[in-house]
Amino acid sequence: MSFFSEKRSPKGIFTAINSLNKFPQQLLAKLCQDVVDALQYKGSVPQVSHYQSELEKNSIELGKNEVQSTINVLFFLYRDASRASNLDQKQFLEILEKQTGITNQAGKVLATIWEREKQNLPSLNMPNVGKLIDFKWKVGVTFSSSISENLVTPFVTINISVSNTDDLVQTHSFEMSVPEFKEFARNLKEINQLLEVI
Amino acid sequence: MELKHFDFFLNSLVKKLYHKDKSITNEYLQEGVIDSQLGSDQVISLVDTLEPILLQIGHSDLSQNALEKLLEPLELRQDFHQHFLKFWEQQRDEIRSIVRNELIFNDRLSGVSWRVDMKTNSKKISNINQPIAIVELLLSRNQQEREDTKSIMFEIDKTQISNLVNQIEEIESLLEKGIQQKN
Repeated sequence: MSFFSEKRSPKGIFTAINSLNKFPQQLLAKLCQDVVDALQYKGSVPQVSHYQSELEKNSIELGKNEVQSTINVLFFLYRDASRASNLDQKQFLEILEKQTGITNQAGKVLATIWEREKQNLPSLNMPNVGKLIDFKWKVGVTFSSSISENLVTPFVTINISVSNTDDLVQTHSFEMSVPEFKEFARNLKEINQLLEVI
Repeated sequence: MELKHFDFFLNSLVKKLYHKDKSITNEYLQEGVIDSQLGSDQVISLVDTLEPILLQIGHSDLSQNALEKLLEPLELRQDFHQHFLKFWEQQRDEIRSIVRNELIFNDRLSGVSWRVDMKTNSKKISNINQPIAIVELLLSRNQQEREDTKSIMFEIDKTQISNLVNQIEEIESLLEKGIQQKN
C-alpha cells in the first residue's frame, strides 16, 4: 500500500529491479503476465527454474535468488498498485522510473500489463500479512516543548520491521504516551496468554 | 451572570481551545448567554480573562492549588470559584491527554486488533496445527486538519510473542521507575 501511494521503497527493490532490467522484453512480458495470472488464481506461481533456463537460452546468466527476487518484486508491485486508488498507466510508469532503477524499456512492459489487467486485480482480497522481522523500542521523557512547558511525560517509541509475503522489508515507527502504551502492552500480553494455552 | 452562564463559558472555551472547535466565536458565546444581562463588551472581557487561565492550566498541567492561586486576583464570586475548581478536577485528565497527543508529531498508534489462527496448511509439516496470531496496527498522523491512517498487518508465533512480551515488561519496569522518581 505504500510504494505507489506513499513512495516508500522497501529494502531490496533496487537489486531486484536491476535483475529485472536484464530480461529480454518478451520474456519479461510473459513473467508479468504469469504473476498477474497467479494473483487472480488463474495460474500457479511462476517457476524460478523455468525462467532461469529461458534466460540462459538468451545468454543471460542470473542466479536462482536473483530470478526469485524478480518474481517477488513483480508480486509486490502489482499487489501494491492494485491498492493505490486509480493508478493509470502513465503514473505507474512514472513512479516506477522515479523510485527504482528500472529502464524505460522494462518499465513500459510492466506498465502495459498493468493497464491491461488492472480492473481484474481485486484490491480487497489481497491479504498483506507480513512477518515481524524486527522490534526496537526506546523510552524518552519530553521535558519541554513549544506546546507545553511543564508536561514532563515519558513517550515510548517503537520501530518495527515487517517483511511482506514477497520478502521485501518495510520499517514503521510510531510513538505512544504511557496510557497508550499500557493498552498496547495489555493486547500483547493477551495474545501471549492465548498462544500459550492453545 | 448566573452559574449556568459561567459553566457555559468554561465548557465552550475548552471546546475552542482544546478540541479546536472553530464554531466557538464571541458571537456564539454572546448568543449562548442571551438570557443573562451580559453585554458584548462584558463577554469579550470574560473571554479575555478566562482563556489565558484555561490555556495555562492545560499546557502546564497545573494542580488544584496552582489554579486556586491563579484565581485569587480575579476575586470571583464564591460559587463561581468553587465551580471552576470542580470543573478543572473533572476535565484535567482529558485535557492532559489531548495536550500529550499534540506532542506526538509523527505516527501514533490509533488502534490494535488481532486474532489467533491455527495453521492448517504449510510447506513445513512442523508448522501445521501451530497457533499463530495476526496483529493489525493502525498508525495515524495528523496532516493539515486531516487524519491519515495506515494499517500494518503481520503474523507472529509463540516464540516471537513471548520475546515481545519480555521487552514490553522491560519497558514497563522502566516506566515504573521513571514515574516513581517523578513522585
